[in-house]
Amino acid sequence: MTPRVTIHRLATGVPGLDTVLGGGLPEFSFNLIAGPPGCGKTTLAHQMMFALASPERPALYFTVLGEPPLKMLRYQQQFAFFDHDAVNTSVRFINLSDVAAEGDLEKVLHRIVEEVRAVGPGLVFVDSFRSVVMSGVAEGVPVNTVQHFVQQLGVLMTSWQATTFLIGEYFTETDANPVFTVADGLIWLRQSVERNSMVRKLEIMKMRGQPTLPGLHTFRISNAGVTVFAPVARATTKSARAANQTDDRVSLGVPGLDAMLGGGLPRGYSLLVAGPSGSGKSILAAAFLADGARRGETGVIAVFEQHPNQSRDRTVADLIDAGAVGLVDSRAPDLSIDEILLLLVAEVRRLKATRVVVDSLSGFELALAPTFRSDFRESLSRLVTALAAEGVTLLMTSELEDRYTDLRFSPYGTAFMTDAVIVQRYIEVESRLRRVIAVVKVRGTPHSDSLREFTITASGIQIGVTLPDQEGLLGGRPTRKRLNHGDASDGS
Amino acid sequence: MSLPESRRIAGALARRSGPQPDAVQLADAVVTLWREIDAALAPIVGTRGLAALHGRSVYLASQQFAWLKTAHGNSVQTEIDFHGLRQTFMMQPLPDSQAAASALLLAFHDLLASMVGASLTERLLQAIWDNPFGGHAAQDVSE
Repeated sequence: MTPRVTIHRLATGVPGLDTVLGGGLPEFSFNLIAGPPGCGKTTLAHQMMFALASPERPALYFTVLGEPPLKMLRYQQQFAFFDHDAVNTSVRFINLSDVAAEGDLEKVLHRIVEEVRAVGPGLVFVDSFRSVVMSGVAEGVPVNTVQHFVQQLGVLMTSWQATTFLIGEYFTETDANPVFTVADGLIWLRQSVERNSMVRKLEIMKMRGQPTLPGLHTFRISNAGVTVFAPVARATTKSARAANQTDDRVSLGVPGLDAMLGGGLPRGYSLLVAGPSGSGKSILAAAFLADGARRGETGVIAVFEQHPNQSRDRTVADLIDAGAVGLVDSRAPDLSIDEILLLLVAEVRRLKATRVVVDSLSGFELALAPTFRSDFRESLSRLVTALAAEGVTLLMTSELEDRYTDLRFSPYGTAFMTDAVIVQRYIEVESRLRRVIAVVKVRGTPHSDSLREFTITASGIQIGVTLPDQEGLLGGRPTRKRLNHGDASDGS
Repeated sequence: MSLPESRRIAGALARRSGPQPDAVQLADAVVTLWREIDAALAPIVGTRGLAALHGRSVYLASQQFAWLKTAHGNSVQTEIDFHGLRQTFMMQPLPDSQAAASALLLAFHDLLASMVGASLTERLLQAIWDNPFGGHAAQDVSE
């Protein structure tokens, strides 16, 4: 006999929720699902019910004064998880509005117990709890009776070995509601509205006996039901990255550029390519993926553009069609960093990808819900960290307006987050707009410090020479140096 | 959808009223069927919810059979008035009342299906329509 009781944890059937709960829902626990109207409480409850209920573990769903049951059935069956065949076999709906209307909580409790005794359910849902409370209050029932009701219900259900959920609209979370003390678990749903965007968030405020993931976790409701975007679990760090060796190099697919990086980019590094519009960042990203494909490596590209079809690079499109590159192109509104990370990491793991491109950070920032934009640096940092943990080599592009009065490498002050930085910019030479490229940083390894001109041809980026006869390149309007004698032709 | 459904409903009614019912037998069969519906659905949608559905069905079927209107009071009912339902049907001659009983049940079926879908409606009502043991209704002496 084991000295400790083993608590079974039930898989809720809600993607991501078990992770956030710290391994599933404890069996026989007494839980509250709380939140304002329209935040998805009833949907979450139904989704869990249909996932958990079986003929051996039937569920009872009590509807009290809240949503009329006819409407609830009408709308809930729009979700994929709603299983008609389970109704009246594994899942039974019981309406208590007539009893509740009388305002006698004892009677409501009595009816619940009666039904529970008759059916012997493994799962009990009471929707909604606030209406239970309100019906009591309306009739002048003191609040301690409400607490008594919940306490009684909690005790009874646990003794009947039923995992129980009270669904309710709670007034304020700071309100020291004694009901919160009685409950084993407290799942709080929220909606955060900023400007025109709305983001749903979920918090496990309490779950006895297990390590839940703290904080607010975004979730989305689609036809499939609720999906919670749990933080991506850290992959076991791959050996190449763990050793942090810089001798295993990845080619960017642009010969001269590899040389400038000191022989390619160290595998597992993150690289930021910053430059003004049209300077060739996406072309460089495409070359990076194409080079991987030539070597039998797979890649993933995340695009955050409004019209990806118009602007997507031909090379990348071919690679995607050939299956060498996976595409993450979520145009769902109001993305959260967790959602993007889940999509990216899932694609990386599916394809066993070694190269990842994020094109571009500017688009990524716009794709995030406004509420997350203020934390953009933090989001970016998590993106870089999570992908580094996957052991992939990451290339991110970033729109960088040319400023000729100061030298900048990244618009978000993000250069320090990445292991390497390449900057592209325009200069004017002899009434022509020309492009130069420089390697600004490669962590832990020597690299070229020259500013090289480059051109974009049908076959991609061609790295040219330095412009030794020009000075003041970073000012954007270089001037011809006064040459002495025997000028160098190529300074690299 | 409605054609086979109306046949099933007529069958369910016939099983409860007997092959050659008189007005009383038919009225009892109608009440029996509605009591079965009440037993199956009231726990789920509540007695008030079911009374509202019944009221709407009566309204819809009375477009065709105006005399049906008395089967459901004008005021908001908290439950189905089985007595009123029986009285309404007892006063009508056959076969008109038979057709009206079927029309009323069909209206109810279609109304429920429009709310919760055909599949769930089938799930909830199948046992009633297809119950082979739904015997004669003469034993219903509750009124």
